Amino acid sequence: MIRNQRRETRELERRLDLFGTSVRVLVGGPASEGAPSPDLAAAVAQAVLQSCQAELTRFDPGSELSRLNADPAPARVTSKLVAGAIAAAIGAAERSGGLVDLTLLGAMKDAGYAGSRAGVAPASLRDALQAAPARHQAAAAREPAWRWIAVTGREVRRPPGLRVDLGGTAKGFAADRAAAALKDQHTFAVDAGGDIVIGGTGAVPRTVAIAHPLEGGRGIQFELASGAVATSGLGTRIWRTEAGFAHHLLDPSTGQPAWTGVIQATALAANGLEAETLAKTALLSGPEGGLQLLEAAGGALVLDDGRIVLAGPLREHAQEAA
Amino acid sequence: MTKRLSTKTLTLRLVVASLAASAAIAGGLAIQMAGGHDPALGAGSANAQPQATSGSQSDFGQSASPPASVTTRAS
Repeated sequence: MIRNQRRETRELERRLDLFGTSVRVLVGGPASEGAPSPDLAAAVAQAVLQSCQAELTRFDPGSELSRLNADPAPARVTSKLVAGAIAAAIGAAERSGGLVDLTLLGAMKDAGYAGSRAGVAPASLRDALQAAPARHQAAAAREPAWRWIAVTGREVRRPPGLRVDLGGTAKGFAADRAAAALKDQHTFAVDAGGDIVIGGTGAVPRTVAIAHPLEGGRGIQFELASGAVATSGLGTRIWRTEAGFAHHLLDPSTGQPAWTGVIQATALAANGLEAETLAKTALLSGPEGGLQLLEAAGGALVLDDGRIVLAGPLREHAQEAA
Repeated sequence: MTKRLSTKTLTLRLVVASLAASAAIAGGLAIQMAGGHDPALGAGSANAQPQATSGSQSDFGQSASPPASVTTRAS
């Protein structure tokens, strides 16, 4: 679904339902000389996001990613987009020390996340936290299967039967690609379901709020003129199981939902993919490791008891949301 | 009986009126520019202020009236 409207700030806004969530593209300010018009640039960004959704989703058996996963051959020539996204996800796995693992699709389905949960009401996070097992930080798989995946050009090699799930990495990847189409605009923001890239030639500051997963509203806010921010958390993709509760952030060492003492992590970075990777890694690392990870570029953790802990530059720049 | 003005007087009055109108427009523009609004850039131009940088990978702005806000959340 697409809705266009002009805001007070003369921004063009497009809203789309993609990646099982709500996506926004905001483009503002006067048209820059030699740059595409804001309307055209926003249309290109929208097309990029739609292509990413169509090719990278695991919930559509006809998507390029699903066809790759269904192919029993050890090598398959896939689309440039899918090959690029898988290469990006392998990079995220390496930088996260294996915590962001693109080969947990089987475990994810076993945990109860086989189909899209778009539009499905989440279980109560408070109830889940009361029923959850003892907290501990997650760890990488002992024998990480993602190390067996190789991307050369458009060819993807992997052991037969190894399937790929790009998860949140796809949102950060897509937000970056859409942002590239808007880089010559005066000001823009791409919000791919919480993975946000902000920029523009005008370097206009924009308010970024971090939603609180337990209290419902905005927790804190800060101003950002350029860069990316992403949030990973338990609050939306969480459901009841026969044994209790499960969610989509798995501990790669066990294949089970991770209960680390952190229920939401927000990270700032130079681009959406890196912000997404940092946010997920921080959550899986637990309170202490997560804060250390976020110290350099800034971020925020929400702990099990609802407390917000700020890291790095956000300690100076963030304030309670209005 | 209506007094008829000479061509010279009419021309002089027109010149004075034009100069007064130009001065008024220039004054208005100067006031707007001093307030940070560049009319050539549109209504939102007051937001285009230089921002302080944190030295990290992101620039944190200082504007009091930024464009549309965004909210990051788990999804």
